[in-house]
Amino acid sequence: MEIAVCINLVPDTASPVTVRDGVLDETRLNMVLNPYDEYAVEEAVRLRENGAGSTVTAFSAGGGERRDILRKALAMGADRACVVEGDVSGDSFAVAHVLAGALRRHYGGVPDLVLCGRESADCNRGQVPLMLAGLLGIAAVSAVTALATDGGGDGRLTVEREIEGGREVYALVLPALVSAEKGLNIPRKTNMRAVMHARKQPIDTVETVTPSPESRVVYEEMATVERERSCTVVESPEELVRMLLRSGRFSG
Amino acid sequence: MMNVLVLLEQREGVLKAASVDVWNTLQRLIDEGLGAHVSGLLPGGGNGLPEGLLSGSGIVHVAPDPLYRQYQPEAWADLVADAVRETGADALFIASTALGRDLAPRISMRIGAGLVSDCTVDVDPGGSLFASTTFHAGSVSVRVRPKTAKVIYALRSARTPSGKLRAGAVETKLLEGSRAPGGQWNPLLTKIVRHAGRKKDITEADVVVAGGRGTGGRAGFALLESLAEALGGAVGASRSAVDEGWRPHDEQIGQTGRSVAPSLYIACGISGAVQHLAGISGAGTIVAVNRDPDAPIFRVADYGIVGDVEEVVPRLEKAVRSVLGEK
Repeated sequence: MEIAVCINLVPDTASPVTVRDGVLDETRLNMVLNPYDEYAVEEAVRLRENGAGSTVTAFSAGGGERRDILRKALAMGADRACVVEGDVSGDSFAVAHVLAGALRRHYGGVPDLVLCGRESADCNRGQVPLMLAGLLGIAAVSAVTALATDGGGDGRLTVEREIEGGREVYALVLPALVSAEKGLNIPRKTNMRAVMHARKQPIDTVETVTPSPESRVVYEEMATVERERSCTVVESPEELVRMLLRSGRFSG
Repeated sequence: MMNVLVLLEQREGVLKAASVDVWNTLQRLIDEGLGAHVSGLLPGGGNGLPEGLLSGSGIVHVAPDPLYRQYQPEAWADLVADAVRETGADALFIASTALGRDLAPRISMRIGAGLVSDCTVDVDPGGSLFASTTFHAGSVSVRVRPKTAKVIYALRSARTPSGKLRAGAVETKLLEGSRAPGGQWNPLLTKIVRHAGRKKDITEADVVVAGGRGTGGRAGFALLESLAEALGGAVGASRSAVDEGWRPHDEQIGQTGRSVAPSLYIACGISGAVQHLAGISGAGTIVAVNRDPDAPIFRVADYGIVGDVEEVVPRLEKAVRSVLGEK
């Protein structure tokens, strides 16, 4: 089975995010592998470990700055890694085009399974996975918290996703795309030996042939969010209940 | 005049509060000058529309095929895409629920519409709609300018206070030719598993009592459960409480979890990380209980009590029960 994992480079969530004159100050950002993509890589590697004959290839679209996270995917157990040379400055739709073009080119068609993180930790839109599936013409389930092969290698998966107050169970026929939600697995820690080994492996390059379409949405006027309210400090819980009642904010 | 279609989501025949919020948000914006004509689409029909839930006026198209009572992603995407084309809608509005986040990109690919995810909308002085969203776990806001003729907006939860709403004159109409085709869907929803013993979901509840690391563990959350029960609300959790394994992931509130919009939000032992605050931006009154007077949560709260969760919460519950008992 051919398994593709699409990974992204994002600022560490602990990095200080500051905006100056409507532009994000990127100088103090520490860039890492998107946390949701770690679940995707881990799941791909587990599938390969549990079933013979699979190849896991990690893809990241952008440029050479992606090599570090691709090496991390290799250290976690991916077989191959590939930088997708392309313009990823556009919106999700444009980025999905770049990835779709690269996957088609690399595989000469579509892989059996595409794994992605549920969303990137920087833009939090969660659009690319389903758009990529749409462009590849394959089925997809987003934000998956459990994935099982039916064992027979018949190209079927059972996946689960969380909904309000419960979870949905889906039967999924390959080729397909699955995006990973927190809880799907616990990504392994990479040891020094794996990191050293990954450093020696080659990283391929795929160029996208077709130009990306124009962005369908444009993001403007970036600003730091102010959420401050004026807080009334209340001395006791009893007083709080009286104040809530008085202000009519307490229907009971 | 903008032609707007609102997708109304139901689960097991009950209209979702988040969908009602989307409808009522648009009706409020019309009152504030937005030039728009609103209609709705209700896949699955269910128990119909309860009186007085939807404000303002408009027609809700009902697709009664029983197949739509549950979420079949591809069937729903086909249905909604067709409805957008047939009603000539310029904009489709969906609540940013588990269903909405999965469905919106599928429809976007079918109708070539720009997709504005997890956004809030408002009306400018010229009567035009504008949308904003946040990046970096809620710490940075951006204006979103769609460039396509048709646009899909997935709205973050925000409740309109009922006093601001006009009485409804909403009609329902059966959608012609909306029988779902047979055949095998891929993916195919095979089963919905409900969490046992859970009374109310955090996105539906009007009161949410949420706990963080300062709750101290499962025993502390039992106090929160009890308070939530007294208020008829639901219990939520911060990311740290979920990471500690004290609560399940589907109760996690924040950018990496779920957005809630209750009228009353009580944060217990939650410090107030930016990504958590992003998930409560639609909340009405915010109450914070924390032993650290410098915790960031106090800066976004309306009322604050400095103290330990285990001391304050039981007293709060007792006070709540005594006033509710008097009613």
